[in-house]
Amino acid sequence: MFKKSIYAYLVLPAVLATGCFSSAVADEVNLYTARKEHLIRPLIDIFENDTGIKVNILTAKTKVLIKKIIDEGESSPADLLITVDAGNLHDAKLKNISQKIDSELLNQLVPKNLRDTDGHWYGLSVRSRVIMYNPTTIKPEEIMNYENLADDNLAGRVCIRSSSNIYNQSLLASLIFHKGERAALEWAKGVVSNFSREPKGNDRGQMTAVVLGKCDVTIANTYYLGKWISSKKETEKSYAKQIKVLFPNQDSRGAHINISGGFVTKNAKNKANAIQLLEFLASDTAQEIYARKNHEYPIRQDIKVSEIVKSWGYPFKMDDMNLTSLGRLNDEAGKIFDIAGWK
Amino acid sequence: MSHKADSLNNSLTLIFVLIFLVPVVFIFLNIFSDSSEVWIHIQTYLLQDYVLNSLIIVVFVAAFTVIIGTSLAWIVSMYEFPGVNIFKWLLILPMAIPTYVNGYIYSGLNETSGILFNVMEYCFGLGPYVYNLYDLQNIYGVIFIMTISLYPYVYLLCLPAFANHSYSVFEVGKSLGLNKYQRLTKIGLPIVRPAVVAGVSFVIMETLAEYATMEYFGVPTFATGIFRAWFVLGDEVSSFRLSSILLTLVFFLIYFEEMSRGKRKFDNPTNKIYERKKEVPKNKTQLVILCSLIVFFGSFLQFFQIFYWISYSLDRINILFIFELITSSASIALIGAIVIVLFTLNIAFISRVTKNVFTTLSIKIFSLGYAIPGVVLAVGIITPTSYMEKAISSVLDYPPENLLSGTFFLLLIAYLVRFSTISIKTIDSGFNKISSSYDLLASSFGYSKLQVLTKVHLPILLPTISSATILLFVDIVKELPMTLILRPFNFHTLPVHLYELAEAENLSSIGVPGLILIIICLIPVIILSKGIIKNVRH
Repeated sequence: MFKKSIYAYLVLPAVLATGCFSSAVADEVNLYTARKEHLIRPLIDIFENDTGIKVNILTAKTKVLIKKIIDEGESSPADLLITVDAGNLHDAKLKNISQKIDSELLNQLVPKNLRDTDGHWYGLSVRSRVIMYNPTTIKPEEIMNYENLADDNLAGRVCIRSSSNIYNQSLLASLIFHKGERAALEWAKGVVSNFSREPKGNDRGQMTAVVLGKCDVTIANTYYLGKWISSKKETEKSYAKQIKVLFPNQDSRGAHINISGGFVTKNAKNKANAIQLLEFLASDTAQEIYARKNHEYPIRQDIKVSEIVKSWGYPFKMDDMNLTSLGRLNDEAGKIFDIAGWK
Repeated sequence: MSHKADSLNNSLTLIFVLIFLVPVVFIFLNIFSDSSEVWIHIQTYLLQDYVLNSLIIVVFVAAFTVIIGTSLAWIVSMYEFPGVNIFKWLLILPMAIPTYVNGYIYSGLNETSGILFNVMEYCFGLGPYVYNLYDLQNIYGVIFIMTISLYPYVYLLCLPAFANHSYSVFEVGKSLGLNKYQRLTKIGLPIVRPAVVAGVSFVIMETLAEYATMEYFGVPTFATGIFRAWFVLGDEVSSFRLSSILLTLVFFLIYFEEMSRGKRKFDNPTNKIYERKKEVPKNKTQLVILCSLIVFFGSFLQFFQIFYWISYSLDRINILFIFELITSSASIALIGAIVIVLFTLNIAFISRVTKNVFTTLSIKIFSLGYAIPGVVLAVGIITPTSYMEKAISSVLDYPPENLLSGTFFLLLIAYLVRFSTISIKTIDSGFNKISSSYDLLASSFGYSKLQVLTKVHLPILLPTISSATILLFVDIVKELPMTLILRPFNFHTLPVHLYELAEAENLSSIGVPGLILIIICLIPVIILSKGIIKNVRH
């Protein structure tokens, strides 16, 4: 009697605890994503409504999600990973957690330079990493190219976020691709010697620093400015007016671009649903919402950009190197940052 | 009791002990595997930082919390000054603010959505000046945040120690010609020594385990290093090695604490608290100012900032999502707390009915769980679980599936290992206070063992059980690293959301979820402090 009861009240809570949470839906797709939930939620809602496929979401940093998929191995519940930066997507491919997919539709919807050459990952939106500056303290002629940020006359006037950030790694990778390792190292060293402070905070933090006089110029992704302009806060709106966007290298290779994108995992259990979700995200309907919501650029030029995005200048000359190379050179970029002392 | 029941109890306990020991043993076993390239990289470039930063932070935080905690306890117990009874309570409030929330708030003060920034901008147009004035995101900032968040633990433990030692001790000192400072150093400090040691060990453990604050402030320590080795550098062996260094440190600490506690006893022989007239100091105003300053920087300023953020982000609040956060946080914490209480009740009961070395030892082992930092425990659970899953699927020969990984079960196991400490101590000592003559009497009435538990022990233990449940609930509600690493799909908790907001530098949205978390954490602080302050009041 005692034996039985002791078992009962021991096991029961554990069973209850796991039981009431686990839900089994037949038609579903499990999404690991590093994108903020509020950015993708509206699209997921449309997808769920249209297809009846339930999308389960787990958010975390990209590196964490990639490691999780590796650790989970064959039993990984993830079907699809959506994240930012070609560097991350390529890294996942190297770690053998993505798979090649055959979708005529995707190949048609996603331009060639925005997808993996082997058909593993696909770009879903485009972002540009540009120069932003304080027009009262710096002249645009001084900063026409990324290369100018290493110039001596900018000593103590530059702030850029940490090198552990993959956007910076990809930007440096593009420099390595176009100009070679030595030039890239010289550039990184030059920029570090121009820093007005040790790298801290995200792109928005750098832009604030420009507005509030900590530095004169920074590198940031354009959509951060879009968020400020569309903000309901007076401070952010007024800050947005005090900073200017400059698309660099317009007379040479063009401004550095990158993507947000996704891939189907190697051990996906709901592969068809995962592909369907990718196709949906690349479709016209989704592209208009997705790119607009975050003030990014759509993957196809025929889709309209938001008025705010247009106001900075569109179209502009984009660096059209294949983004696979960014991923390939990512590790190299990390090492160069370490050598240059870019925290 | 029959042999059958005895062996059942022993095997039950054995299973629990195994659940506890697997992560720890697994971590230490990995020391013997080959050094990877990543480990060499860590050794060359990072290890020194981890060791130095962790040590510097621990030493300073320990020193500052001891100084602040003991002096405050001394001041409010010994002196009479305006507001002393309110201060006594207000000084505990920082306990309700999780360390990482404190870190986010202090970092945000001079940011553009910060109250300091906006007040200065509005009144004097000096916002940009304040923005450029200082930067807390460095090792000094971490020491400050940890000190301000953790000093109440030392303070709270010292209060009864000072108060319960009757006035007579100090009177005797006075009559022997000791002056004020001699009375503090020769009588006061030795009396609170055990309390200080207990408090500061807790502070050190919390400091070593802290992940979110260190990460946000960009100060590399063991906790962030373990996370980085695992997830960014992708090398679990290095992660286990760092974990084993950290665990060794922590276990040494516990050993020293036990040692120092064992030697002396500071009981009040009469066990009676005398009516005591407090001294009225000459420098009353200074004491009031000192206490006000600490209360202000310890909790009031945080509330101002939180409310400012709420007003700042009022238009962006997603009530449905906040509601979802509250329900998911509360339900996992409630289930966790109940599971852990039932579990510890079992263990304590088994050890009462089957008194042997094994069950006594097992209680010792369970009370160590809290010492294992959350990050360490999480990594110590993931890998053995996936080994087990692989083994099961190969033995049963069916396609691999996630049986446990990414389920609430695993998360609950992690909570169980780390937080059992809290309730096993209280419940075990609760059981020990119940005389065994009750059991004998009950069984002479024909009660079965289970009936003894439910009809005799449980009613007596009810207050102990409920306070253990509350403490557990709160500790789980604010838990971050384990939940972050082990949580399943579609599952957000308040801390996870706060962490993600801070990571996206969206500090102004922290207001509402931050306030809710603080309010939840306030509940036990109020209950706890009521008990302690009531005992102290004369």
